[in-house]
Amino acid sequence: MSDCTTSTLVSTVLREYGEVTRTALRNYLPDREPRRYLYDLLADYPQRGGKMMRPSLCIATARLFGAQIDQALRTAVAIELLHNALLIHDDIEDGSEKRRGRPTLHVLHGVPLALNAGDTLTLMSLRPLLDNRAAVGDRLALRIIEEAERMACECAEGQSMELGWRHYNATGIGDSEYLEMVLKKTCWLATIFPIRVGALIGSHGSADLDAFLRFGFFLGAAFQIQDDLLNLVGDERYGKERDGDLWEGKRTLMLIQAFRESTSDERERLAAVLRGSRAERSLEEVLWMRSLIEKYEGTGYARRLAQELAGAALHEFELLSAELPNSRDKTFLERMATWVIERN
Amino acid sequence: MSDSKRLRREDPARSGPIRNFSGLYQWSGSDRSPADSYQSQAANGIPRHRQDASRDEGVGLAYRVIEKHIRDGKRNAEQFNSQPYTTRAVTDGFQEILERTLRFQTELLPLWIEALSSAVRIDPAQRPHTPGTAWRQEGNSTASRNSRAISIEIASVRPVQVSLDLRENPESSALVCLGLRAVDEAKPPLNGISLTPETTRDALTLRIPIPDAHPPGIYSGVIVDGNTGETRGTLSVRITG
Repeated sequence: MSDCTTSTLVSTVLREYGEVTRTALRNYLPDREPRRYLYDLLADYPQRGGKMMRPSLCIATARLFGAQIDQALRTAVAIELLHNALLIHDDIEDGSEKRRGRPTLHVLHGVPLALNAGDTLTLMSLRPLLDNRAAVGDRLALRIIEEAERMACECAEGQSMELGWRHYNATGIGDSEYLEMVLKKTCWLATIFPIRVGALIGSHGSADLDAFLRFGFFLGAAFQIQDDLLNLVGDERYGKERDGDLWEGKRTLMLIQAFRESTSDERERLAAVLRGSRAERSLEEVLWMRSLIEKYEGTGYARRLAQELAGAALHEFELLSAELPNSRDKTFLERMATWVIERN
Repeated sequence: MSDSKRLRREDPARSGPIRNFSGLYQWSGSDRSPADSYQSQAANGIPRHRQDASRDEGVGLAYRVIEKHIRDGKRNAEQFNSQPYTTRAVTDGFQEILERTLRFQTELLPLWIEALSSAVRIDPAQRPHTPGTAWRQEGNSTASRNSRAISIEIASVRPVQVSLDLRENPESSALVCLGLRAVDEAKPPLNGISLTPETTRDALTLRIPIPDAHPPGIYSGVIVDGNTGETRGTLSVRITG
């Protein structure tokens, strides 16, 4: 299939499911005081747009089994609320200055208010999960909450790994450790949880969730690697700070490859550069890290792995969907495997 | 000509004919793709040997990571729950509908019981006045003398709505349902309904068995005093689906 066809279908579905999720999400954001200190902050990130990939994966997977949008909608809202909550916290932890083309929340309002807003969005994601009882029944609603609890633990562990590597200047990180961190930090919220609960809802609890765990992992890992690549080579549409990952000292596959291939002198200098905090890092050092990555073809290495993982995602999806009827949602999920690595 | 100048063929790779044609292809005899091989071999820790080893390592490594993750997850889950579920595979659409109906019933039944409990009341003014069974209104009568808890047990594979109107003489303990009938005489009656007093408390258990193949519809009938034959209430059951 052509890139245009893939992009068109995926964009159409993301827009459609994204819009219905945004509309439902607005019902869960209170319109009352204190607005300036809290509720305006809660509404900020969701209003800035975004791909809406996570809620769309949830809805599409539920519909893959024949469910109605309404049965998955509250879960999709909870996913988007939690995603935005973690974005607020991520931006604080990373010291990021831009999010979706605008200053980050803590830059606009200060860390304490932004932190509180993130905490509130996290807690508010519980309400739509409780409201699920009306749509899917008590039993499934409880199972979804159990999945959400596991997802939260995995995300926290993954985030702690990434933060810990930076804080303690870990230099022995390999591909295996990187993939494990991405599995926990990114994949569980971005892809695994949405499609697992979508499968739960659509199949009334009978689907094999491990199959969706594999598909979600490969899809999410390819997505994250592409995200890391865009941070280095993306254009102005990217929306985040260019080279932000280098400024923050994030252990991406490109940096891991540079570490692995560089000489002992280069490795020693790289370790020294990464030892400092973002504020202590100079533009010269960031540019030097870029040149090291280019020297050892870090972007090419990461891009190849992302493509391989996209292929593995396609394979896993073919296995788990072989006996499901053809539908627009089935095609959408299948094409997500290539969309995640072709997006810009 | 010296031996060193003679053309020499290399020794043949095989010494006999190939009988097993399935061995000609790398993933022969199955539908397994490279990723299948990665998956099983990653799970078994078996090293692979391919020409493009670096490319294999990427996907193979990813499979090892995820399979370990799944094993760890299962091990952790076993600490919290090791009881087997009595589930079975859903084999066709009808089976799936049955399972969904059962799940629907278990969630709907508590609501029905609650609704019926609040709807059932004993009104002495409506009790028919017959000779020999004069109603004695005692000054110190309490609500418990004119009301009685009712448990409803429904055995049905389809959704069922029950309407119960019970006017009970507190001294009557033998209530009988004479079978429920539909307006359409072609539909068989619904029998086997019982009203049994509980031994441990002042309550009744209404049992309504619905045969799996009983035609849908509304089935109604009276509840009578088993000793006197007097009407004590009405029962209506709507079978849907």
